[in-house]
Amino acid sequence: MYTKLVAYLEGRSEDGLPPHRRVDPRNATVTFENRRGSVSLVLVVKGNRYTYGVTKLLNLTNEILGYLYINFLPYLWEEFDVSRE
Amino acid sequence: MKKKHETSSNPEGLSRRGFMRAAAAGAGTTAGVFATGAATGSVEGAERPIQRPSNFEQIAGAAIPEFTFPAKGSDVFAKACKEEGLAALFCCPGNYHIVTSIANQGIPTYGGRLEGPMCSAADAFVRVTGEVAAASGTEGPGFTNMICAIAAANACRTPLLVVASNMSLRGDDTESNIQRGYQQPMTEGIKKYGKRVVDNKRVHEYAGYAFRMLKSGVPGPVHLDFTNESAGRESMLESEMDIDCYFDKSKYRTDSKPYPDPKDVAKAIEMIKQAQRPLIVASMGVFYSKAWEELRLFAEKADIPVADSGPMRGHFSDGHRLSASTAPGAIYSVDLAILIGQYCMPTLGEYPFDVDCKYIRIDPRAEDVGRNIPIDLGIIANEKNALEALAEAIPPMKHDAWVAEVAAARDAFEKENDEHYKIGLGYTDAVHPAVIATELSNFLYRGDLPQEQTTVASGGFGIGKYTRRRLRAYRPGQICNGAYQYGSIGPDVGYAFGCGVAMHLGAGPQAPYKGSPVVAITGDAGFAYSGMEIETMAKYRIPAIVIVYNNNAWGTWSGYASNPLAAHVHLFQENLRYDKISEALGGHGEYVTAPDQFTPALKRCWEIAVNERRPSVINCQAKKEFWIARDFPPGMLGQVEPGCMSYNH
Repeated sequence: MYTKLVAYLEGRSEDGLPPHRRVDPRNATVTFENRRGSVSLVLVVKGNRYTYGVTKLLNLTNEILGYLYINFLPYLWEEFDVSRE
Repeated sequence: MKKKHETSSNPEGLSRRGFMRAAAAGAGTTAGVFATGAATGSVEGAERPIQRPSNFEQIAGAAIPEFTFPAKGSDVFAKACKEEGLAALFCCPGNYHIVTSIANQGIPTYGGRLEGPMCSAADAFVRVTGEVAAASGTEGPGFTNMICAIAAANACRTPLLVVASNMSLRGDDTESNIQRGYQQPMTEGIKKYGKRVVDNKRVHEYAGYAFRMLKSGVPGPVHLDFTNESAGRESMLESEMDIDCYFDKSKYRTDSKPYPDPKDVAKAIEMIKQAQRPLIVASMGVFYSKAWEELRLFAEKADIPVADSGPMRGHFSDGHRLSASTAPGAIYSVDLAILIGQYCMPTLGEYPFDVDCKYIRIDPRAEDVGRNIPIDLGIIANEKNALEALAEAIPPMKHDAWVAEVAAARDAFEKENDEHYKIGLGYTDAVHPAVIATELSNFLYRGDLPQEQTTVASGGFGIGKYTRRRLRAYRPGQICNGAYQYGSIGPDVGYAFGCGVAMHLGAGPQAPYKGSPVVAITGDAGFAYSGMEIETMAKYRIPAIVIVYNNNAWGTWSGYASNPLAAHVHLFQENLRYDKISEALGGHGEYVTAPDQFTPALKRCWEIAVNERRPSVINCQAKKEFWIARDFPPGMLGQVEPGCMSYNH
């Protein structure tokens, strides 16, 4: 699951994505930090592009949750107490 | 006129003396019936084919009695239902006066095995036709059997008329006889309107209350219960002079609908001009206001993609170039959401649009606008009127890049579905849900059938998460979204019957496909709740093909698989033969145990549906481990809403 999630995150900076969905590496980089299985989303802005960074971080969180919903629903049941119904 | 209960001490009017009088008069008749039965009995042990009595052949040609006074309250109520265009009644025996009076009006009436699935059938009928239908149960258990189905209909905002008998006022609080209970408190919170009707002089007036609620504003179930005094034996009315408020429907309600404020329309157009990636989310209000043509015109002129949501699908065609219903990957990009007729509102984030997304909500009732999601603009209007005004006022626009993004997301979604199918075909010792979903979709939409023909009752839990991805709606009411919002998994065979009757009658948008077979999807858990209605479909010759995903377990099993003290709660015996149940009830059955058997079985069922008008069950033998992604990818799937996967909102 983690491997797939990392691949998904890396895909968020690919050239083919529309600009509003892409994290432009010239403006910011995103990675996961894995501390003994506890994963954090890390976004580092370049220069002072903080508005860009905050917007991207929020939208990325939104998308990652959607990705988990579609592909790893049982994980959300177990770890986040999402309704099993 | 002497009343039968005059000498009775019993609140229901049955005295010992009266009984003896009636019994003596009926004795000869009873003896005759038994004699006939003995004369026609068959030989012990001989093969007895399943057959339906000739009464069913007589329904179509039966004369409709003329309504005349004196009449019972039930007759007056039924007459009002007829004049309001009540499209069908689904019931079980009980509530005899109301049911018989409605049948005597020529309103198509169907009797099933359990009031719950019959109520679900009525709900599904309404969801795919937009016409008002009724469900009936008798007092006490007959009524309470309908509770779950009423709650589901309420969550779907279905204009469903629920009628039930309820003993007599004279017997209230006595516990005399059986089946006593106050019904209205039991539907508190799951209806739009309800009333215990106790006065025969006001029956017509309360029919007016009911249809005002059913046909105005945001719809919802209406629950009327009738006492013997209002609609039973004691409810005789000599003439219309005995009836209060005996007005025609044109006098007790209006078809006038609110039109949007031109200032709001202008503001909406300015917001659309500012947006880069607008999306119209068209929900049940678009369907119930029959606004699908106005929706298409507005979307095309403004070049705005549309995702539909709701308890039915198809008010915007999945085949349209602007359809976003099968483009879940594009949902995150939306910067302006125009929610129209979304009576069941998601909370913020459940539709995962861009975090800076702006919202326009178009709804007929101001009281709800702003609930759950903060709005940037609210427009109070009937959906049809609002779409008409918007289509007229908006200049032709282009959103080429956004429309291309939606198209790419559609392609990506299909590619993902194809991947699932390819993986599913690799599991050869059972039938994977991706195989069922894909091959059903190929049969319905890519084979010999017109793609807009077949109406589907889309249900099931785990299987539904695969089939929703592949089911398509090319015209209004083509999909009944079974579990919508309330999340019942059991009513699917009832829903199949309702969709089948809608198709049988050619009601509402089903008219061009009148008589076509319908398809339903359910799970092994769900089938158990309403599977007896296969018999109901067989006796009425409703050709539904019910696909049962049989994985020997509830969909919840995987979460408890490793707990030896709890896992059994989620398990059934393995390899159960739901197909044999169908055969035993007069339907056809297929047992499918490998992927390559599914499509041939589906074709055989279709032939039987077309040629014999019989229902079928395709029992697809799967395995519960398919929900464990680690061992059998892709495992249990989730969904993104709005669009084809939606069932929460």
